[in-house]
Amino acid sequence: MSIAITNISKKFGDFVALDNVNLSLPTGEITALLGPSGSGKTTLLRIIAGLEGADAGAISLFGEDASRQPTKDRHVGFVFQHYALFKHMSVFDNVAFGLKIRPRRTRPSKAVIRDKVYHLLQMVQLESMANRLPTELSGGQKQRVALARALAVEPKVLLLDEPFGALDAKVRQELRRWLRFLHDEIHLTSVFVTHDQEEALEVSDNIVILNHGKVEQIGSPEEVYDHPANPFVYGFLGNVNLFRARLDRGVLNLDQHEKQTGGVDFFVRPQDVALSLTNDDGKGVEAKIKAYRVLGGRVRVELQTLVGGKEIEADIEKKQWQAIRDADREPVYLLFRDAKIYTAADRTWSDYVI
Amino acid sequence: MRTAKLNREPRWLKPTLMTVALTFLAVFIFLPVYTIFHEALAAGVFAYFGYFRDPEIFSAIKLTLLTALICVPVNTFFGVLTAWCVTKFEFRGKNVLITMIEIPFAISPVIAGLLFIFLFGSFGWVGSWLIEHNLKIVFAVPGIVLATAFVTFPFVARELIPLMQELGKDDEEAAMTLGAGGLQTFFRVTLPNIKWGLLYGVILTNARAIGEFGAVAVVSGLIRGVTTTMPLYIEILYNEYMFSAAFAVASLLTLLALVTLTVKAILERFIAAQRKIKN
Repeated sequence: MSIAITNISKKFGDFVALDNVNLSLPTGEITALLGPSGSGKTTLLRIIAGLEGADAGAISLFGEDASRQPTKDRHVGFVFQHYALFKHMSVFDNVAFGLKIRPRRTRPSKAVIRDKVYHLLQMVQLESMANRLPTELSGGQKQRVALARALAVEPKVLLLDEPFGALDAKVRQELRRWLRFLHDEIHLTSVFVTHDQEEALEVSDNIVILNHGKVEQIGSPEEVYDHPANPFVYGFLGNVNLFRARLDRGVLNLDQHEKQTGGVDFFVRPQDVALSLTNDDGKGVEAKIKAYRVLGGRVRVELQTLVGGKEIEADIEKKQWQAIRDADREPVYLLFRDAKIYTAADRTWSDYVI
Repeated sequence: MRTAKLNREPRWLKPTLMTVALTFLAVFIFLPVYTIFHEALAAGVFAYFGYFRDPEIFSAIKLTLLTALICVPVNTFFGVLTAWCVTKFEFRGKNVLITMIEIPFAISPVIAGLLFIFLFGSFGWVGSWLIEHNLKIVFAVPGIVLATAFVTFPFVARELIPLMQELGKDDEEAAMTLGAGGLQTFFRVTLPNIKWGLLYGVILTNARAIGEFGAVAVVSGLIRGVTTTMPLYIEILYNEYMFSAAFAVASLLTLLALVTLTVKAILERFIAAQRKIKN
């Protein structure tokens, strides 16, 4: 384990940013700290870097207790959301900074620094920009310079704080793929903070989901997506239909209101809602189509169940939608192919099987 | 084109406003400045330069420059230190501190001067101790330096605090993660970021240090040739009806001010250009 976090707590005034967090992050993998804003993910990253001190708990980097180490001795690379490039230095000088400031004993020669900087700039595809000032670069280029700068000091851990948060959608998409690609080349233990579940699923080997300063779930992207530990994780990782229902001996009964007792929370993702014109096995739920929106190759359909009047969103393929629209029949039948049930009374979280 | 006309002011407005503004400027700024130089040179160029050979005038010039020479670096150092503390650290009473920085601006310079009399004068808190040890602060050069330093303290800090707040901590934190220590971070990252604002604050400090009258007048005691700065000596000369000499010293002081203003204007241009690059 490269980073071990034990019982870390942190408060800002009355606000609890981290509440007794325990984590260990595997060597050589990318871990995403995922959570809504205010969940403590950035604070945790800053505590790992030593930019923030924890109120309680310990942190060790590669088996060495780092709790009392200042940032400059931790050998962590840090990439900031807003790049934090030194504005008065050229791209070259920015990347070279960490090497140039070393004490004479450990400082590489000028030629070595030069070679190293150019090697890194080549890696981030910015060799031709070496003499530019940061102000002359686009956001995506700036972030690549920031990454090269962080890598120049050969950190043991690379920490990225919402690295693509300030970029527009297309550049963000590109940089994500590129970061993943880069990581596969250099295998540096990396931790990045994001509030974007898609980004976490796409880039990371491991996801740590945080909420209100607590770890909700840790696992591979597939694990957390397919087997969410609780309703929060389920709701956070993608769109979800959530409604109250009752289970009468395993049969779903939608005639259930918020206030009535004996109900359960029913979770189903829009892409797990199937639409059918027929109700062959009698398990379909009758619904009428209220609205739809074509999103490229898929169609988002808003429906309302005839019993209980629940609003349900379905995400189906365009071809299927065309068939349903052409038939122009009401009601249509909904089938929940993969759903989760949360019983608040005994706090159980289980799969719903038709 | 029609829409452009919608927002056009009446034809007479621009020339009228310009005339009013320029007349005001001429009467209240150009005329006095012109008078200073006119009166100073009234007795001829030879007499003008002759004044500066007067040992008392010469010592007044020396004292003024000495005061500025001490106050500017001291206030630059403490101004940067204060701005650094206020912007980089979180602590209780921070807002009180920010307000306190403004006190020298808020209170009248005369009161600032009196304050030092009460502190260090013979009836003051530490006055008797000072007399015992044969140390003179008020009615001596140290008092003048202290009063000037007090009055000019806020310029650097006030200039830097908003600037450093805007810059944030990211750059410094980035430097730290790259292995930089505190001093390295300050000289290589912070200072280049704030240099124009700092210079601007230094120039304002200098201008005020040279020109300060009120606070210095109170603590000076007006010992000729010893505790008279240029502004004080101008008043002495004036009260003694030595108008030409008074104006000669005044012209030198004005010249210093004009040089300062020019440097400030050039700096402002630089700062604006820097901003443009940044955006």
